Amino acid sequence: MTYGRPWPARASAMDLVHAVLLSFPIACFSLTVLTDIAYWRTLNLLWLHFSEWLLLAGLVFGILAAIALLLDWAFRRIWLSWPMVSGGIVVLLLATLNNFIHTADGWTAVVPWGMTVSILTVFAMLVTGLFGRWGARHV
Amino acid sequence: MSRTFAFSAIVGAALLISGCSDDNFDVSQQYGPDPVLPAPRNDLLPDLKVAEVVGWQEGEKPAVPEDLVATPYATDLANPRTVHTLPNGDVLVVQSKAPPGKPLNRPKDIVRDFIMDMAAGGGGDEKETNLITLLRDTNRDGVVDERVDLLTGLNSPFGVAWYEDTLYVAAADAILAYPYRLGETAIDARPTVLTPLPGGPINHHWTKDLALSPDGRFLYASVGSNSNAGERGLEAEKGRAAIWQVDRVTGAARIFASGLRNPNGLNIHPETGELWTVVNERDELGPNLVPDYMTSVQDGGFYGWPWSYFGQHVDERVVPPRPDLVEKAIKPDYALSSHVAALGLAFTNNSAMPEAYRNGAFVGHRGSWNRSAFNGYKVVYIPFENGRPAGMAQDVVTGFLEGDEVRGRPVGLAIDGTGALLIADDAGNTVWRVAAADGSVTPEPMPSDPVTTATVPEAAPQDPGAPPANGRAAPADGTVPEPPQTDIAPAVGPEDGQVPDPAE
Repeated sequence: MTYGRPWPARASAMDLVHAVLLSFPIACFSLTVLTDIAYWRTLNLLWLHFSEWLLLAGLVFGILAAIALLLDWAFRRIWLSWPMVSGGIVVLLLATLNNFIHTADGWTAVVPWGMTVSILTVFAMLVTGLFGRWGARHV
Repeated sequence: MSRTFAFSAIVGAALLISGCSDDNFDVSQQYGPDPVLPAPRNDLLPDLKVAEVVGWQEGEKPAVPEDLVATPYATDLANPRTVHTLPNGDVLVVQSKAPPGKPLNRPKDIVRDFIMDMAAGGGGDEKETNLITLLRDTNRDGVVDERVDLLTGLNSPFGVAWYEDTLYVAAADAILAYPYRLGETAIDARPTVLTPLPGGPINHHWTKDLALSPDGRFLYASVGSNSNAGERGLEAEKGRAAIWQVDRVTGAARIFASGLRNPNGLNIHPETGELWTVVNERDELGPNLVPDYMTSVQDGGFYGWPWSYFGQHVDERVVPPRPDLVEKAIKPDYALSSHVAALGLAFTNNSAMPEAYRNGAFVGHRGSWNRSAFNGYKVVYIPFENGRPAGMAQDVVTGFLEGDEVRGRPVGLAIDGTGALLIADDAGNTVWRVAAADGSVTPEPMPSDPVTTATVPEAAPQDPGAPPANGRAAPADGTVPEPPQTDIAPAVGPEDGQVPDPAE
């Protein structure tokens, strides 16, 4: 039996912090697509409220992750790729926009633009994840 | 000051995101029976402009035309919301604030709560409110001679009515009945619950107004909606956005009219005997939607909320749609322009106001907070002819807003025992009296709820299980009609609502 090694042996505590913070927006924004679809199909307001809180939590942790990465970049000179940075900014902007769209009262909070932006946000996260490490130095 | 800063930040963000607004819109186009209704807007962040409440400085008072004079009738009150004149000329001032404990379900609710608190001038050293104060002008000279707190520790009261030695108080969750003879200055008896009304824990529009039918048999009670446009689900709206008709003797109640988002200022027109109300319409469709309105209320009438506004203008936010209800929505009689927060109404037919103001209605506009340009913060007069509004509203009492600062906010209105206009100013903690400058008074006091016809109520007890007189008959094809959820009142027996005796 083999065990994967999720962290390079030289990973620091800060890398772990980044990973933990980053996992929140990834999980929250992905789940928002599901809860938006659930509201669209059922009209149950529970799902609209789920989406709102997921978007808020995702945005808050996304901003915290961005701050942590920036500080690390400034003080520890960690390597950041421009596709990753710009992708992250696009994701956070889309999520901010989506937070506001979801404040509408009722149906128009989700259909059509709320759900559309939720899907775009996940798409932007996927693109960032796939191409964000272009140019990464293999160590 | 930190509030002001936080608020500036919010407004800054709002302006950044919503872009500039059409401040050039002429709001006078939205007064009258056929208001101009622009296309609904779906702004990312609705317009927002909250005025800072600074209160009235010594000697300051509202501005009135030359033939009128404004004086403070009572000061140092605690959020006076409504004024009511008893048949002997005594005036009751109902003071209250929103009941606490509203669940905040959405991130937005928390922000909104903060803004509403600021608009009400919250914070600071607040006096104990939720009480009813009696004001007595013994010699009818327009100056209060005696002042006493009649009832204290109430649950956010708003409307009051008096008939046959009983004072009816509409608290946030029930109509209470107190034994009270005119002239008394204390109430020691415990109340009975005439009928419970839809209350908390949400109780979004919590103000319940009262009016007495001209025959003295019924009370009309207004119950505002639990949401802006149905976004808390229609289950939350049962019995709400409606005016109830309550049998004054038995407490049996039915929905008299519905689809009225937040009705207040219930009054019987002195000539026609029709019930009139002012209604706050919905937000977040743009700065010029939806106009608040004043309307006569038809028995069994449905006025659109939440599915449509001003007749058949569908609100796309409300899904599933109800075209069957939109089709039958009654267009209100008279628009009052958007977001003015019309809460008070007083007919002037039997007042001592100058001739120019003696056949019509005063309407209090508490003032907007969800527009980029302020609207409201004044009392307007709307002339009537033959019991219908006839003509443009004119500003009569102004000066509540000075620049971007609020000195007061007019809420409830009434004609006092001498025939002058009283204005409850809940942010300025004052009741203002606006009288004819020539000092004329009515020969005798005119109550807020005059009983003009038969005084003998039919004693026949109603069977609570029986359908109301105007109950909908099932169509011949066997389909069951589906009324709006607002028409489904919670079924409660009188024993469900009794106030428990603390001694037990």
